[in-house]
Amino acid sequence: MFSSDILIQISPYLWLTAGAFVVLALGLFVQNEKKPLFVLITCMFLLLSILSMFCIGDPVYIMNGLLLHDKFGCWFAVLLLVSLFVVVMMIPYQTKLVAEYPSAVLSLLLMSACGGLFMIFSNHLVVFFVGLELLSIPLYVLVGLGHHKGKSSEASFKYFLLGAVAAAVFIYGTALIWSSTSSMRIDELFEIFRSPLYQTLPKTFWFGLSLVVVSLLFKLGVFPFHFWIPDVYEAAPASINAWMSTASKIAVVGVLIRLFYMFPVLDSFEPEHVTSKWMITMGVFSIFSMMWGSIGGLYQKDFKRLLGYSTISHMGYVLMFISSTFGKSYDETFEVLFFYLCIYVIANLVMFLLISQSEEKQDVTVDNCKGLVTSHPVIALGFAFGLLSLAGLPPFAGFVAKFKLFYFVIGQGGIYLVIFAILSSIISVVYYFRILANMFLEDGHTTFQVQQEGRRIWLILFLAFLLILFGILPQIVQNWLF
Amino acid sequence: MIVPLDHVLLVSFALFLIGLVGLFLRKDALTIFLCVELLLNAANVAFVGVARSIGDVTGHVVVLIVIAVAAAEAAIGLSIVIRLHQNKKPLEVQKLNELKG
Amino acid sequence: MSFLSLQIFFPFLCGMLLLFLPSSKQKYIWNITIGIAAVTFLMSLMLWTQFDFLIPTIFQWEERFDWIQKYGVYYHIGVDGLGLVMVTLSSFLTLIALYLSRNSIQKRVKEFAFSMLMLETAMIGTFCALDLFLFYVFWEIVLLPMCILIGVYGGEKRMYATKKFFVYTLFGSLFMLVGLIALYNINMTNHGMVSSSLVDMTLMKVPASQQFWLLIAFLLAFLIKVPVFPFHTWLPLAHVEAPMAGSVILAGVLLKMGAYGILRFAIPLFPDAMIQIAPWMIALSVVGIVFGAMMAYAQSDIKKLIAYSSVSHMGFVTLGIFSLHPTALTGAMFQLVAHGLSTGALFLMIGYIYDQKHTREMSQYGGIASVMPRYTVIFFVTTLAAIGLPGLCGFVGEFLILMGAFQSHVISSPVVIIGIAVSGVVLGAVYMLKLFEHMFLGPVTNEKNQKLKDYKWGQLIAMGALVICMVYLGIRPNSLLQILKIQHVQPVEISVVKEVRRVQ
Repeated sequence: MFSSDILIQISPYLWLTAGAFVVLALGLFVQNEKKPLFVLITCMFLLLSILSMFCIGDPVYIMNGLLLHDKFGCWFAVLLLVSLFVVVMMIPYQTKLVAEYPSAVLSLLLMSACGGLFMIFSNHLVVFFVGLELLSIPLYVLVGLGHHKGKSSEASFKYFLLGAVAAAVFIYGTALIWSSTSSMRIDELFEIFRSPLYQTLPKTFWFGLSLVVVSLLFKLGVFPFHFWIPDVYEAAPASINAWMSTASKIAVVGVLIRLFYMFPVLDSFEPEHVTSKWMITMGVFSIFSMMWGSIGGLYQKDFKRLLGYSTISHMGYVLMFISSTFGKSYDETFEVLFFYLCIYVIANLVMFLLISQSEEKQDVTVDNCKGLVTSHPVIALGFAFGLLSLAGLPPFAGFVAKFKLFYFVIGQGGIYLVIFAILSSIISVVYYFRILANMFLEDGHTTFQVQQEGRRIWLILFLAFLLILFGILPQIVQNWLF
Repeated sequence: MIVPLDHVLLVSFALFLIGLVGLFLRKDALTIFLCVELLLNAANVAFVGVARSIGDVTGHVVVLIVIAVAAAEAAIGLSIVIRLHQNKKPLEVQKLNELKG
Repeated sequence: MSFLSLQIFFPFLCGMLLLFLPSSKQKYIWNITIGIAAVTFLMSLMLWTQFDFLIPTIFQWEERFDWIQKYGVYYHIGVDGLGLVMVTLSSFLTLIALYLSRNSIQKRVKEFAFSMLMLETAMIGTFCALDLFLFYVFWEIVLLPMCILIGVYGGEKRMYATKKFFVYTLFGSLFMLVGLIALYNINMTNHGMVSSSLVDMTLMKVPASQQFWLLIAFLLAFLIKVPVFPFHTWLPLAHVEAPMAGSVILAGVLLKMGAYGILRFAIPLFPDAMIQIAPWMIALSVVGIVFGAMMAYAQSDIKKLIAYSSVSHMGFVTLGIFSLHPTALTGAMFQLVAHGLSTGALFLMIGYIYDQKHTREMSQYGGIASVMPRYTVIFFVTTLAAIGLPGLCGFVGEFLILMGAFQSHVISSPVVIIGIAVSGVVLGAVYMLKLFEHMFLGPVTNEKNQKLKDYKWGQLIAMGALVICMVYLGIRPNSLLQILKIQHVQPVEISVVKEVRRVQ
């Protein structure tokens, strides 16, 4: 029944799913103290999955057109899996999290990654739905495992409700799309866009499509669907935060790239007002996201909550880029967006995983980290690199990423969007700077604890070093990828 | 008599709206969860109706998939509610305000 | 890697190595740091040896590599006369500031040294960069060590000062970034290729209609840095709260970076818009001159007084730049050096006396001349240089600026403008002499002042070097004037003349 061709084609997903089951089963039979074993097995399956990505060459539709394996999706998938690798390596630092259910946590993370892969490679809206749920449901559980039991359960419940509504909206939108076009496959939908049938699409189609996009924007965390982010970020354990802020954003941006950059022919058709309506709406959303993220972060005391607002702001930049370069081709825009996403992922991983060091002893707040540079200078430097990269200052990679983004947006005529982006950058610099000032300039006794097994921290510091390396020599990423 | 597609879609839309409205107006956690299930089932009804009128079996398969996913989600959701209860949090949504939204 | 790249990155690389030394051996760290600064200064002097003085406007010591090819960004560095002078000034002031900071910085010496060295790299890089993107990167990098200097080693309100300084300057810089990217895009649409190198960009002329807003975006960053009234509010705060070395570098070099940016980038790239905006800027400059002078007169905090005097003097510089007359431009460039030397010396002296008495109030000092004679002499000479006495460096710059402004075509009523500016000179004399009188002359008013220590030999030599420069530049200004020519003065002049002819 399963020919070897199909097995090879679906091997990335198979490795992840197999890994999830193996780790879960192992958790039943092996004592809980053997935590490194679990991590090792998880990493092994992850690496196998990454390696199987390299079998992907030319774009090919697999599984009867349900999934599309192409190079662009491949890059997103590798980014996702590598970030999971980093998160899994650093998870043992959160002792309370892994004390109770180590194998379950790792297994859920693997399933979540598998869902992310489904989303990135999907060609069919229902596959996309399954991927979305597979990505999110483990997250609902994992968010609830924070060490403040009351807060975490509450955040988990809120996230679950809103996420379930988003998924339901998504599938309802799919139903409407199917009812009007009798096709749920994304490539067939694009064919319809290119053909004269485009003129005859009924209103239900556009309503369905907007529901689908709304659901995606919820997952991305942009205005007006961003209300869950600060609460959930505050209450989740920091490693899960690291995964959540990187994986779901990677998966959704991958999908958005597929959806919006395969529309280049739309402009040549008459209902241009439809596309311009979309562009204007998304532009307005992006402006509000950027400003909300920057102004909201000014009042925050908790570090993770502040990073949540920074995420809203960053996704606002991404949305600004998408809304103004709507309809350009894949090749030009993919590189810029992927670079931005890479740098965002690295910076977020560095920040959250450094926070995860000390989070369980005491909450890391803006005031708590006073004088970090005297007690743990290297960790303070890691934080500094991450924060300055998020702020977008040269010579860090965040600056180059923002520069490329602004370059394209201004080239498309989005000068007002960029003015708002600049204003939000300036405002957000204030709160990044406040943290940096507390860490470096104040003398204080910080309560930040560093775990004693110090070897793994170098992975995070290596990532922080990458932030400067890519800032000075961004062509490394460019030449290596393309 | 064959039910016209428009009627099915109308019913599905009505279910969707009821679910949405119930979501916002209800206070009890479990009832809100029921409304989420209602939303998912609205989509199911739409799928079945369209599959019937177009004649494509895909719709029915999709319904099975959505039911399976909804079941998984229900399992997770209920376990989250149980955990909420274990951690001595009230089950009324209004009272869940420890996190400043 | 040629010599100029080495000159730029040498302080930073040595600073990185310095970080690995143990913090306990403070004496070694100080000695090594001062050695590094001295070597950097010597390297900048070596740049002079191979510099062709006959063609000071051509960029020499040039290097150009591809950096980010897709956007036409090159690693392009080079110096012409102006750049060379500014590089030398930066390394000279850094060396002297580091040497004289030995007594004031007691803890976290390693980080202080590293910040100063990183700042030196960023400053020299800004003055050497010929590529707009590279210039912007160095411009931004200057902010970080400056914030560390003010924030860790500063006075009581240092956190507020740092934040204001950082956010205010960043505000301007980000608008410059938008202008920069817009400029790239305009060049792309008009000329089909994009290049960030200054030489290429001056050849790709921007249409006059689009120049105006681009110039505004660029100028916002430069005017905040100079600072021009009304964007000057960060300056008194930052100067007062910064440590001595920080104030010296801030006043001596960083303010000049703003003026340098206008000279190097704004004038060649946007000549038509400069003509349009010049009258407004001249008005702002003159207001700044008088405002700075009057605020300086009202101060009792010595450092704040000198900070406001900086606003006043930089008002002269912008008056010279926006007059768009070759004499005035040359005078402005000379004034950059002169002001750097004199204000740097003033801050060094204030810092020296603050270390001993820990107060900056004028009233606490009275009649010190009898207690610290050597200090008094140096202070007096510096005061005269700051006022603009002929024979010292301050006069040459101010005179050339006023003369050029009088002949300038963009000022409609030169007599009024020059009159107000000259009154600023007079007010400058008033507050500086008042400061001198209150601090030094007369009998010793405060008993504790009897115990103040005078300059020792080492410090005397360092301050003496500054004084000798001030005197030399006052007596033989031509040594600098002959190389302070800027490449694109001529086209501006011709187009100014064309404008005037058309109006007539």
